[in-house]
Amino acid sequence: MKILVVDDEKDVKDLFLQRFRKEIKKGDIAFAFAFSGEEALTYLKQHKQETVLILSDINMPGMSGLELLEKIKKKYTAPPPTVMMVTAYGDSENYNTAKRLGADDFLTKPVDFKVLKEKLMNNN
Amino acid sequence: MKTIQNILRNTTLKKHRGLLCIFWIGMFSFSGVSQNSLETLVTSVSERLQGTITDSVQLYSDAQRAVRLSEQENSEELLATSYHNLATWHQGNRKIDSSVYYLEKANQLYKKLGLEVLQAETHLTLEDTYKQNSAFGKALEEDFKALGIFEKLENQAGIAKTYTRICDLLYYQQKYKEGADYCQKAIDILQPLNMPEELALAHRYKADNFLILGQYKDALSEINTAINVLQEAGKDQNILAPNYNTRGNIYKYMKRYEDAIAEYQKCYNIAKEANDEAALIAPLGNIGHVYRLQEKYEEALPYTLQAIDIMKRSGLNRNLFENYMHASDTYAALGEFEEALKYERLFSGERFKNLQQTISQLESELQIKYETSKKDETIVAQSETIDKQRRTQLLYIGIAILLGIILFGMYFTIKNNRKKRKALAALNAELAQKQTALEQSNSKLKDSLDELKATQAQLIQSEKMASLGELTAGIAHEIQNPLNFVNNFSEVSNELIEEMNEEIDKGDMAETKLIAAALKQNLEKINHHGKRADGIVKGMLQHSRKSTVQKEPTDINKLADEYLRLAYHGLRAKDKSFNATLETNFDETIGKIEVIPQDMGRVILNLITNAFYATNELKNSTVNSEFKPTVSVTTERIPSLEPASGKGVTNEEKASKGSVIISVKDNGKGIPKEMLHKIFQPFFTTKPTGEGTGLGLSMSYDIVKAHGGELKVLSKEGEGTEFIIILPNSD
Repeated sequence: MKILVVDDEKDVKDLFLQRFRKEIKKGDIAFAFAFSGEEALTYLKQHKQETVLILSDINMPGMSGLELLEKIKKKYTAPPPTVMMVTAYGDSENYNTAKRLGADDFLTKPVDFKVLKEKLMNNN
Repeated sequence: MKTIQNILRNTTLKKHRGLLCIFWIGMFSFSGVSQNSLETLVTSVSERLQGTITDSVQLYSDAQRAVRLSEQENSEELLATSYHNLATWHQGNRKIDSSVYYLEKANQLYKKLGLEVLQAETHLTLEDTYKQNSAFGKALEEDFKALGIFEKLENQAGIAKTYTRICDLLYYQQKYKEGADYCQKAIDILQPLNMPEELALAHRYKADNFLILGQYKDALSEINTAINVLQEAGKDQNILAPNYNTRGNIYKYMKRYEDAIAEYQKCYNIAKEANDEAALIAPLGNIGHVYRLQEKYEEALPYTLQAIDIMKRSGLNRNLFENYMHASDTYAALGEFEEALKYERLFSGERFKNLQQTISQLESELQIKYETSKKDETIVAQSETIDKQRRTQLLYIGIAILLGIILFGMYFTIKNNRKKRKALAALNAELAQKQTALEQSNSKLKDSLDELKATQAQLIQSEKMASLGELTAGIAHEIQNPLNFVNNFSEVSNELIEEMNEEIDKGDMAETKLIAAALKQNLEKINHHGKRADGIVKGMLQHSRKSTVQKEPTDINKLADEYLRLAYHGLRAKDKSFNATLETNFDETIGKIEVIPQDMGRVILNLITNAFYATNELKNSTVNSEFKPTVSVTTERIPSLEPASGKGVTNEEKASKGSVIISVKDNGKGIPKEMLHKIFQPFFTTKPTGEGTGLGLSMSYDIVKAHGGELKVLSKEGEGTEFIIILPNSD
C-alpha cells in the first residue's frame, strides 16, 4: 500500500520512516512524501494509480490541506483515494469542513502512531 | 419776625452809610488827580481782561472804580468802555445777567456817541455772553446787528470777523454744515487781506466743523492751511498751539493715535517753553485720553496723574474732577481697584468742592448786588427800597433754590459713588468666585490629565498584551511541532535501542551500526527541535519583556520569517477559517544588521497582522470566490547611492553602507486616501471598538524612527497596501 504524506515539516519524513520501519521492511507499507499541497498534486499526477491513501496536514503555507483535499476529491474519482486530514487545531470547524469536502478520517496532533498504525492496517 | 428783620437791616445800613462816606471821600480825592490816570486805569483793566487773570477780585474792584471815575469825569466813552470791561469780567459767570446789563449800558453810550465800530464790537461781546448762557437765538441776533453795522461801514475785516463768530455760534447749535459755510465766507474775505490770525482762525473753526461732520480729510486739510498761514506769517508758537490741538483732535478721530500724540506733545512743549503751567493741562489730558482709547492704560496713567499734579499745584482745578474720574477709570481698567477707589473718592470730593465754589461765587455776586442795592437805597426813595428788598428776597429764594439743586447734586454724587463702590464690591466677589471656579477646574483638569496619562500607559501596555495575545496562539502552535518531534524521535529511539540490543545479541554488527547511525541522527533531530522550541520561548520572553534598548546584529530575514509564521498562526488560532498565501522574498546578501530584535519583531508582527486582517476583511466581504488572500514579505539591500570615490574608504562611506528595506505587502482592500495621513497617529483605528488599541502603527512608527529609519506606506483602494521599513545599514 502506498501512502502519500503531505506536511510542510520536513522531519516528518524521517519520523514516518522510523515509526513504520518494520512495516516498510516487511513491505506492507510504502511511503511517499510531499512538503506542500502543490507538490502533492504534482506527485499524484505522476503516480495516478499507485497511491491509495493520502495523509495531509491542514495548516500549510500556500495551498492548505483542505484545498488539497477538495481538489483530490474532485479530480480523482475512480477509485477515490482515502484521504486522512491531520491538524493541530482540533476544532469542529476544521473537522466539519474536512468532512464536508469528503475527508475519510480526521486526526489531531500530536499524532498517536499506534492509533494511526491501526487505522492504516484496517484500511488495508 | 418782620420787625426784627427791619431792625437788623436798619442797623447794617447805618453802619454801611458810615463806610460809604469814607469811600466817597477817597474817590473824590483820587478823581482829582487827572483824566490821564483814568484812561490809564481803563486801558489797564482792558488789557488785564485780555490776558491771564491773576487777581480776579482786584480786577473787579478796579473795573468798578473805573466806572465810578468815568461817571465822575463825565467821560462817556471811557464809561462805555468801563461798562464793557465790567461786562467782560462778568462773562466768567454763567447764568448771571450782569454782563448783558453792563453791555447794554455801554451800547447805549456808544450809540449816543456815534462810535459805530465800538457799538458793533459790543454787539459781538453781547453775542458771546448770550452764547455762554446758551441763548443762541439772542446771540445770533447780536451777530446780525454787528454784521449790519460792519456792512454799512464796509468794514471787510469786521464782516469777516462776524462771519467767523457766526460760524462758531452755529457750531454750538450743532449746525456744522452751515457753520462751515460761514467760515468759508470769512476765508473768502480774509484771503486778500493781510490778516493771518483771523484767516487761520476761520480755517480752524472750519476744521472743527468738518471734524464733527466726520469729514476728517477735509478737516485735516483746513487745519493744515491754518497752520501754514500762521507759520508763513512767522507767528508765535503760542498762537499756533490751539491749531496743533485741533490737529491732534482730528488725528485722534482718524485713529492716527501716534500722530495725535505728536500734536499734543507739541502743545505740551510750547506750554512748557512758555512756562505756562495752565496750558500744560490740556495736552496732558489729551495724551492720556489717546492712550486710553488704545487701551494702553499703563501709558495713559502718568499723563493723567501729571495733569492732576499740575492742577493741584497751580490751583487751576476747573477740570480736576474730570481727571480724577479718568485716573479712577484707568486704575480700574488696570485692575488696581484700591487706587481706582481712591481716585473715585477724590473725584467726588473735588466735585463737591467745585459745587461749593460755585455757591461762594454766587454768594459773592449776590453780595455785590446787595451792596449796590444798598448804595442805591441811600439815593432813591423808599418805594425803591421796598423793590430792592423784594429783589433781595428773591435772591435769597434763588440761593435757596440753588442750594437745593446743589444739595441734590451732592446727594446724587454720593449715591452714585455708593453705587460704584457696591459694584466694585460685587465685582471683587465675582472675581473671587471666578478664581475659585478656575482653581477647581484647574484641579479637575489636572486630575483628568493624570487619569489620561494612566490610561495611556495602560493602553500601551494593553497593546503589548494584545500583540502578545496574537503571539501566544502562534507560539503554542510553533512549539507544538518541535515538541512532537522531540517526543516522537525519543520514543522511536527507545524502540531502536531495543532493536539494536537484539541485533548485538544476534551478532549482526552491520545492522547494529545502521541502527546506531539512525540513533545518532535522531538525537541530532531531538536536539534540533529542542533548540527550536527554546528559541521560540526565548523570543516570547523577549517580546513580553518591558524594554531592552540593546541593539544587536540581527538576521533580518530570519526575524521576518519567524514573525510571519507567528502572526499567521496567531490569526489562525483566532479565526479557524482564515487562510492566506504567504510569499517570502528574502535578499540573502543582507547579512546581519544592528536592531533591537524584539522591537523590530514587534513592528514586523504588527505590519503582518494588519496585512492579514486587511486581506481577511476583503475576503469576508467579496463575492469573488477566486480571491486569494496573499501577504508577501520582501527584504532587499539597497547600496549607498553615493558613488565610491575610489581613493580608499572614508569613515562616512563606512557609516553609510546603504540601507535595508523590509516590505510587507497585501492584496487587501487598501486604505482610503483621506485616512492615509492618520494611520500613524496614536489611537487611530478602523477596527471595531475593543478590537484594536490604535497604537500598533503608532508604536511601530516610533520604533522605526528610533532605529534611525523610516516607515512608509503605499496604498491603493481595492488593490492593496504596502508598508515599507527602511533601515540604515550601518553596522
